[in-house]
Amino acid sequence: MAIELQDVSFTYLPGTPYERQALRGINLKIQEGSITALAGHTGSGKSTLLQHIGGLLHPDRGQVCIDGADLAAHTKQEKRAALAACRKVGLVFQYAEHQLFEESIYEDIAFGPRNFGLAETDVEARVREAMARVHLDYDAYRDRSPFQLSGGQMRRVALAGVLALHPAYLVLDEPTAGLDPRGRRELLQMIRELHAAEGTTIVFVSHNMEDVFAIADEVVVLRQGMILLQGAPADVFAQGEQIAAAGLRQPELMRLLSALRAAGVPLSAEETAVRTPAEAAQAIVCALKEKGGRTHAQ
Amino acid sequence: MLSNITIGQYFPGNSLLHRLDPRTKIVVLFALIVALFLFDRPADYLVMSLLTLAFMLLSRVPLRTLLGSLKPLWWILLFTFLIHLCSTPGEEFAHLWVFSLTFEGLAHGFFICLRLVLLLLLSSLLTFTTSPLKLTDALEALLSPLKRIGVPAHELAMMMTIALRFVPTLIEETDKIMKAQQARGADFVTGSIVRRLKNVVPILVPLFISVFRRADDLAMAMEARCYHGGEGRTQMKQLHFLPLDYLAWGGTALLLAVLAALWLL
Repeated sequence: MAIELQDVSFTYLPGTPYERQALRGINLKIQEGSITALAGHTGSGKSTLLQHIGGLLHPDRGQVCIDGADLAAHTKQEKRAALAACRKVGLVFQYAEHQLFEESIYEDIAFGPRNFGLAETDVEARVREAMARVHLDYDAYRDRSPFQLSGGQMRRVALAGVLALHPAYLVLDEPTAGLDPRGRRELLQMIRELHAAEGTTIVFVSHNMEDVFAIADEVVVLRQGMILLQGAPADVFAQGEQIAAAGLRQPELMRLLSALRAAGVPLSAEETAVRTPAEAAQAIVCALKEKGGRTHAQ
Repeated sequence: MLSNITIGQYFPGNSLLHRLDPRTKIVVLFALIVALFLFDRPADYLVMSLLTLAFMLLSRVPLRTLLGSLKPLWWILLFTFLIHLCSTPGEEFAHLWVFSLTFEGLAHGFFICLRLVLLLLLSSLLTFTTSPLKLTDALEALLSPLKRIGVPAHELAMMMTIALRFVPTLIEETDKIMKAQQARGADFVTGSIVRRLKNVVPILVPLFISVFRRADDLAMAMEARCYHGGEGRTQMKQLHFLPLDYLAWGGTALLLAVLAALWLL
């Protein structure tokens, strides 16, 4: 079971002077249970690709399948299957807090489950659970207006609104854009927790390589609507030239460790690809000790 | 969904009409519309039709796009034609219920419709070949003599520029909000009218909030750049008349003179 894209191409405003091809023959398979990051420069087609996975845009050519069901349906029967497949995907847009509209946080999170036709008792359970997932206290926040919250909290409410739908695939467009470092860390932490607890497949778009490096276990680098690189973060980011060609930078941590390695600190190739600051610090300490030991021995 | 709407109809290009000064285009359009209403003999219509056709070819805008701008007018055209057909006294050629259809009505209806079509085509040619920004610049320039009697020409133009500037942004924003709510199971297409109206709330509320936020940001940004109205303000892109413009002015004047002379004879 997976998200599969076969030879997907998409053009905005075809047949006008504003015509722009956003995707060119994308072939991609996103395995269930993985955390996949789509990285790329502005205009590389990341968000367009995401909207295809959410079934909001349909390809001009090729097909998008969720668990084997084609999202672009034609017959009535196919439509039902496509709708069911679409509902497995929870889509969180960029600046998701801009979509909040209800008077209370409870009502806003309940919007989705109600649209899916759930009974009111189930809706309440879903809201409760979703708020716990995004670390908002149910009793303290349920009746507050979402517009009185801070930006980071509003983003979490919006995220809860999608989590309440119990998506098997959570798809996020720039989930940390515009958040302060603490808000960013917290949000990434929530995504990681969700993945660990529910096994939800996560697909997210980012042009922040730190985010990608921190949580993804598969990276897809897009450039001009085509896949440039794909693989494990350490392998992908090790290809410095290609990363630069895609208009991206290597993660800070990797750059730091590579620079240290170039300066003569004995770090192995694997060690330059560690993903958390704590691991990096440990690797540096070990390497320096080793080096110190050697110098002393001489 | 909404991404198929072309904004302000501007069709980028570099044709003769695109290069004409926007002030010239507005004045010439105005003169031609006046001519269209003043001179209503078949020969005059022929001249105006040929002229419009020439402009259409000169603009290099695809014929299809141009004729597409007539689409909203079909019903009005049909209605106008029928009214004229049925209500003009003259030589009757058929009788329908209480209406007598006359040859005069047929001709009259045809010419009135032709007039409307030409009117619309000429005006769309202006918006197709002139970017909204140039259009507002030209309006400001043409209105500026009226500043003396208290018409806030600059402010009007600025308001128009801002409004036009935000049309695509808001369309994009609406599109995004609609998609976000759709992703949460909202349905804007099916259901009864009441249900569908209720479903608009999740779009309108975020949209209003976003509009006010943007307005606020814009006001702040303008004040931070010391904007204080049109007094002493210069423009980055000055409008200049080119030889082409004088030719257009001359040509229009000549055409009007000839038509007027023929009319008086």
